Amino acid sequence: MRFRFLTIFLTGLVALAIAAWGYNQYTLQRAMEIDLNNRYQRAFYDLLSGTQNLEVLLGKSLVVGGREQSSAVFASIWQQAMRAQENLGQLPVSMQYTERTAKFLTQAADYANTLLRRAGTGAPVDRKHWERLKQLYNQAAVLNRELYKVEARIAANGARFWEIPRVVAAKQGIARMPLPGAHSDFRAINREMQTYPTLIYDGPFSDHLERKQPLGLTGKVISPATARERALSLIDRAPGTNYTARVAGTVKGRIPAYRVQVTGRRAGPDEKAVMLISRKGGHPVLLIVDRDIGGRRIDMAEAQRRAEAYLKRLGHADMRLTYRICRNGTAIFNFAGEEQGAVIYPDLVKVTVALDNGRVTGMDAAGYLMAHHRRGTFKPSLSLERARSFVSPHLEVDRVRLAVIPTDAGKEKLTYEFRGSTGPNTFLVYIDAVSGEEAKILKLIKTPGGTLVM
Amino acid sequence: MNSRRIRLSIMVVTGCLLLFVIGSRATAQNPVLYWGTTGWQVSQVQQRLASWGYYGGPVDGIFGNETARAVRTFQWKNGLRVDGIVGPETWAALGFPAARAAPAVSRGYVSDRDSVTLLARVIMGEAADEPFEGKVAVGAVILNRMRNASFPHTIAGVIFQPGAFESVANGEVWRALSTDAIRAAELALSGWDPTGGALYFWNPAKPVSAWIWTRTIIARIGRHVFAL
Repeated sequence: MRFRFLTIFLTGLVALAIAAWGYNQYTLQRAMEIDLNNRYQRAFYDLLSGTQNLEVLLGKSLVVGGREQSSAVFASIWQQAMRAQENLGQLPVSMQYTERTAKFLTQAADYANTLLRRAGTGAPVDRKHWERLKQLYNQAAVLNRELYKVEARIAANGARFWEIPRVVAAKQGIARMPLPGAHSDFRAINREMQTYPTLIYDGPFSDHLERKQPLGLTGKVISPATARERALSLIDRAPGTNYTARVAGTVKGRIPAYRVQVTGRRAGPDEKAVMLISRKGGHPVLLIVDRDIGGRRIDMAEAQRRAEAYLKRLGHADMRLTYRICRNGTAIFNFAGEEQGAVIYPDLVKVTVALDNGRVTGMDAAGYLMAHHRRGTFKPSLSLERARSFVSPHLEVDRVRLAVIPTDAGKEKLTYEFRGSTGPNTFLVYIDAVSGEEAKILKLIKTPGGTLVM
Repeated sequence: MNSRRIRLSIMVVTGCLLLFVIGSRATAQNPVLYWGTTGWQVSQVQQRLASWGYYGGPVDGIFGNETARAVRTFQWKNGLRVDGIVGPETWAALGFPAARAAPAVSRGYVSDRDSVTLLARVIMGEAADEPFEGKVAVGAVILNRMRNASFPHTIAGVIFQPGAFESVANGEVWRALSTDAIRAAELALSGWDPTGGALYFWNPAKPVSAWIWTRTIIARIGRHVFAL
């Protein structure tokens, strides 16, 4: 009798404990779900306010006149579109449904930025730009119309609109209510955005950059066997190691290439390397050697000599070291081209050297192959003295040279490079050698491993 | 084993603190010290004078008679004006040159460590068992997305985009980092891209959405395919 009472009592206690625990878990889960949903709601409403402001501002941009006013409008478009893009990227909607919308917002921002810079030089908005702005305005209006449909549904369905909590809930078999999916809404928006034309302008997100072709690929198409030979002859060999290579596939990126795997056999673990050899011309594009880097035994100067020697072996004779950094026992050296006394930054080849045995562990010539071409004689129309007068008086200049730098739009610009300092900070200032405009300012940041450029 | 690690970390921490202290002292402006001054700069002078044999008293940070006598002897021996006051010349002669005029612009704390760590995390989560080249490739995809109009424009934005990376969604990315992953992240940040510009990657052996197969595959590295 007493025994039975005890059993009932204990069972009851356990049941109570489980119930309490379960209830606790339930409230916790609910709180998290609501919290997560609130974040998504915040992102959505911020997106909506961003796109609304964008539409209004794009409308204003069609009638704005003065330099100051148009600068202000373009700056606001840039800011609002970027803000909308940022918030769109935080919504739990699959990328495939937001891709086009995200691109529209980025390009609207980027285009406004380009026009902002143009307005700074005093140039008015011309016919071509005005037509573009009108297209962007119409597109923004369509986007807002669609987003308001989503907003109406969110308003009707409240907190449980977004997909991710629903998926979790469905997995646990809790809620199976038919909610209007955010996905299908955004799919519809994305479809609307498909119709919008490609934009070509001077910004980093312009459509023409996606179609950029490599300029430095010269020569005939080579066979896989030739690529194999090329890779074998270009690997930085260690003594006492037997190297074999095989073509493991192709890479059909901007520079179509063969993927050659090189294996170095020796006592201990094999050394594995991958080298990309371009299909056209058999140029080495990329090298990655996979091995553990041991303790540091050579210094940076010696590593630099090895990197330079390797560069010569690759056939790049006229290059100049522009930047170096040391990380985790590996030194990375950037080399830029040199022509007629000017540094050609777009012709970029990078070499990494392991500081344990001083052998090359990596190489990247993609920049060089994309940019290198025959350039005419450099004729700066601005004299050095004139260019110097455009540099801020706060900069104590210690070196000047001619430099070709890449622009955001993937083109090249001839500039004077001034290196100088203000207090403890060192900067590189680039003055356009034709217009005298400040093309770029870079800050050099000294770290224990080397200098960062930002 | 454990105690050794603790001792090591204590040593490292002390070392860092020491470096910090020395570093900040070396760059600070040196104040003028005279009889009656107290503070750590005084101990600094006392210590230096003691180690060079001019001062026999306690290093207590109080500029008393004994310190003043030591300073005078030091000044006399070094051809400085003998006044018992530690001014700029005496500071310099003691081996503590005054820092250059205080810069109006701060030196800043900019580094790219945050980007390296974030990239390495996703590389760990998505490609821990892939060959090194495959690890660099995953890092390159994230950076390619950052530079693409259709994706967020920061590394964090790309990585934490909901549903973008499985390992971020299931918490795998918060595992401890391997040196391999860090090296791969650094290479990717330095511009190495074995994929030739890919924006997507997936493992064909795992169930993926049918949509992803509509993308153009441009490379195959390890168990992953890479696409535009």
